[in-house]
Amino acid sequence: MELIALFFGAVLINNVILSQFLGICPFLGVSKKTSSAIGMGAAVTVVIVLASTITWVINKFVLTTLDIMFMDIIVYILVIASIVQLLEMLMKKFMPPLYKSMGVFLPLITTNCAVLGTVLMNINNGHDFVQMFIYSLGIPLGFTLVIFLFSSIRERLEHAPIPAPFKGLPIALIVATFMAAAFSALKGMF
Amino acid sequence: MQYLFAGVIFIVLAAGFLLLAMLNKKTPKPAGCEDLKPECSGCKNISCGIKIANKIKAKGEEN
Repeated sequence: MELIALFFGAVLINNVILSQFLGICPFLGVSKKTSSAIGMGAAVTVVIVLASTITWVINKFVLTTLDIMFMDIIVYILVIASIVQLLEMLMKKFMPPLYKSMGVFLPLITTNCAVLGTVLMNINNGHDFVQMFIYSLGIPLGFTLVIFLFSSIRERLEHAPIPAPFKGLPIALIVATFMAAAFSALKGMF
Repeated sequence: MQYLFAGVIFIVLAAGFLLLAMLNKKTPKPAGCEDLKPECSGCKNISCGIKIANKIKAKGEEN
């Protein structure tokens, strides 16, 4: 039950975009088309799960054991950047169709603070391995859900009769406000 | 001793990153993916690597 609460809490209640305000750059930048939003969400999911798992292991067996926790941020950043490079290379070589749909978002993920945020939250909240895995799966799924919903709304807004000063980003930000308010109503569910 | 370990770990990770970045750069892009561009224009993040690369490319094409 605790793990289910942790998962749905990460997806809906502590949503990385609407509740923790991390990953706003891709949320606004890559949400004009639903297909791009799904591609970004998939790439973020792969990177967050991999980065969280590797950094959790490094934190537990290297940084804590050697008592060099002051190195945490720099180690996590290097691990995330390395994972992105490795993934990009593997996709280029073995999965060209996947690279075509996701590859363009990979460099954006290196600077996506949602990835580093999830890694840090896993460590700071003292999650064990299973909790870390569930949380690291829930956070990017929440990211994908929100960016997909937002892109669907933005696609419809393109054809809506909106006053000229509100077209584009202003109306998108107003929509994001309403979405954050709607998601905040889910607080207390778990 | 702590600082020595910290230095060694930093060097190992930085070397790993540089190696992977070099290998990634050397790996040829699949056919049809030579000029992929993200459709992002919204976040106004001036430090975004993709934005800077696109600007440099656009300037090069102008010249």
